[in-house]
Amino acid sequence: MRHANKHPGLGLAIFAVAAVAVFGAGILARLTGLHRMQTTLVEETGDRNTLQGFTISGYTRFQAENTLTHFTLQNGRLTGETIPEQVRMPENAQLPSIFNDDLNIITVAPEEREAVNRQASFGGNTATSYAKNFWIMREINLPDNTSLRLHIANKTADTPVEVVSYPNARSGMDWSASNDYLPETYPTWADEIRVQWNDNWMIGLNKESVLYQPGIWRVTESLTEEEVEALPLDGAVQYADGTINVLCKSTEYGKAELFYVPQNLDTILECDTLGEYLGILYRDTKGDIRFDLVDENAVCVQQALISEGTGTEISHSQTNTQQPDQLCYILGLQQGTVWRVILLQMNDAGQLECINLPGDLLQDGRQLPGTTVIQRSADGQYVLFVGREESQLQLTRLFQEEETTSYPIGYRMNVYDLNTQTVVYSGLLDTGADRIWGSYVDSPDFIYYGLAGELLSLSRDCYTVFPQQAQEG
Amino acid sequence: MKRVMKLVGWHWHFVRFPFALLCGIYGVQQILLLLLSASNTDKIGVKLADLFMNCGQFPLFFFVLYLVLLVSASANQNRGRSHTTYTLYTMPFSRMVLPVAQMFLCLALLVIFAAWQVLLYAAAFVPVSMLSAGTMAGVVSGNIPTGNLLDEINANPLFQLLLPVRLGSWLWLVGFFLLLSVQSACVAVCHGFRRIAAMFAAMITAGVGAGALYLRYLIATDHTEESGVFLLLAFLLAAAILPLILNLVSAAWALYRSETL
Repeated sequence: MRHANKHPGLGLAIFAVAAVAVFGAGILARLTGLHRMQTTLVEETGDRNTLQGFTISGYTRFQAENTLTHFTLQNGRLTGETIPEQVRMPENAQLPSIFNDDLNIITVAPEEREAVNRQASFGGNTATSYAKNFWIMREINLPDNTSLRLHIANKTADTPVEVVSYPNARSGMDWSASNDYLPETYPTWADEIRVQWNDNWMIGLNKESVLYQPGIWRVTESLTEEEVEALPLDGAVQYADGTINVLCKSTEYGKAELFYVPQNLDTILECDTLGEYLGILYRDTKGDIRFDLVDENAVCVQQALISEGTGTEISHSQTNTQQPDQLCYILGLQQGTVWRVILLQMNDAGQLECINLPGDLLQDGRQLPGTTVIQRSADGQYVLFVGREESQLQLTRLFQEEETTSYPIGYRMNVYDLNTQTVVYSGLLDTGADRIWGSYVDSPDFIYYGLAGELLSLSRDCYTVFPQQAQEG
Repeated sequence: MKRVMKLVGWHWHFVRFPFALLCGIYGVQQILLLLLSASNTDKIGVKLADLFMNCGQFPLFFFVLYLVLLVSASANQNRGRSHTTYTLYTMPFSRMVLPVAQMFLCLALLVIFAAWQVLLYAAAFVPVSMLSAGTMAGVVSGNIPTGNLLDEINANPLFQLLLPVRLGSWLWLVGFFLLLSVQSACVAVCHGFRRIAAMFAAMITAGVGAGALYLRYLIATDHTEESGVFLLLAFLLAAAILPLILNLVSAAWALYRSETL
């Protein structure tokens, strides 16, 4: 008998042991790879000690890897961890929802509803009619998935305007003006001014609101989607041979009460919390931009003049500071030709400090980026600017014009010295975005169904969220 | 236990060539498809993990796991060359030795095949990256980031399932392999038409079980609380275990009648 037959299972045993060893090596490779995904600081220039006074943190989600990483920069040290088998960001680090916008609905006034129903005609899945009197309804969708609807103004058209209803589409069942008639002051999407403060949602209404006084309103009642569904159907739409009962778009639901109106208010720009107070950035009737700090009794405790007489055309945005006692606004004056970065801070004495930061300072040929996080250090001497950084790629394809594409490679962190007005430190926060640059190659035939097929695809997206407040893991 | 191990050894002897052939064919098709994709100018910037998914290797792996299950079960169809033939008649040990040995054999083959996939992937990384870089050089200029094998292993959902880093995922993987092994043992001891039925039932267990394994992983990573996905998972598990119960009954009947002899 051959030797192999004496020990017939020897080969299997060897292979099995080798397979277990391969598994061990594989697990080791995975753990090492997961560890390497952690955020790092690279390309550093200047004095790293200037990072001492800042505390920032963020989460990165790696889509294909089903993994989160978390980093914290505190006392000048970058710490982090990898959380494998986890794709859900913490509650306080969600991406802003883009489909939660506020809406202006231009709907038929109740008194004209009967006349509109009488003139209704039908084609396909649409009922059309004509109306002259409209109610402007503002539907405010709050981030906690509740909403309220307020009747903010009336509008009368000079000539009858077409109104449509789609009985098969739940959101369009009631009459509303067709898209050809959208008054300039009431675009479909409305500016959202809202903040959660002392367990209440505060919303801002501007002067397009006639029936509700422009100012800051406190939401006292807002309904969930189910509660809105359960509201009684209080109107009817004539459709073909029958009528369909609907919840009228002209019906208000939810409640709000007037909380605070800044003096000589023209337009509310932003509304945020600062420490225990509510801060309101607004333009007054003289064109000055002011900031009011309001306590819970709706009393203005401090006011700051941000900018004098800037005209009417301005753009504005809020930038995250990750500190409860700091607020930062970027104002584009005269249609974005002049940029001003304003940092507001409550100091220890309870006084409001207003610091003007350079909006276009150049250092080593680089602009001070700061659209992601801007934060003032604990000792007040430095300001940290954090902003996305991208890398450029030149693409030259056969028979095609040369194209340039860019992809994110992380976040540039610059520390700016307020005394010397220079950048004293610069570093690149590598959060891992560079692993997916291929998806930024913009080509119409990027997805290829060829010999090898394209049976399944993988999303290798990776994005970083900086929560409102810095936090340790 | 010694008799079980001896039988595992003998039956390995019968299946080693078909098993090696299966591993070989699987490896060749995988490397070929990956290299073909990597040389495609419309896939520049696409990394190994993406190419692997694009070529359909993720579902194919689970299909070949089922083939491994069948190859393992075929050991008992050995035209009388197995020691089983006389041992079950003459030796004073339980006829349960046969299915238990078949189960261990299948488990070993599954583990070896999975390890073979890990090795293949690691081996493919360098040639695929080099080919990709070559394809890219003619199309793109600039500071192009280079990938590394560790990232590609982590990004690939197959290796997130095969090389778990959390205990729960480990338990599910072991459970899945045990499920396939028991099915393989059932197929091995059945004969005639019931063997074909058993193979079909094993296919359902393998397919639905793989689906349940992946779904469980997605639920665990998403921390979802939607009842719908849990219902789906329960349905998949039931659909994987019901054929197993049928096969167990069938196999017990076959053993009782000594059909295998």
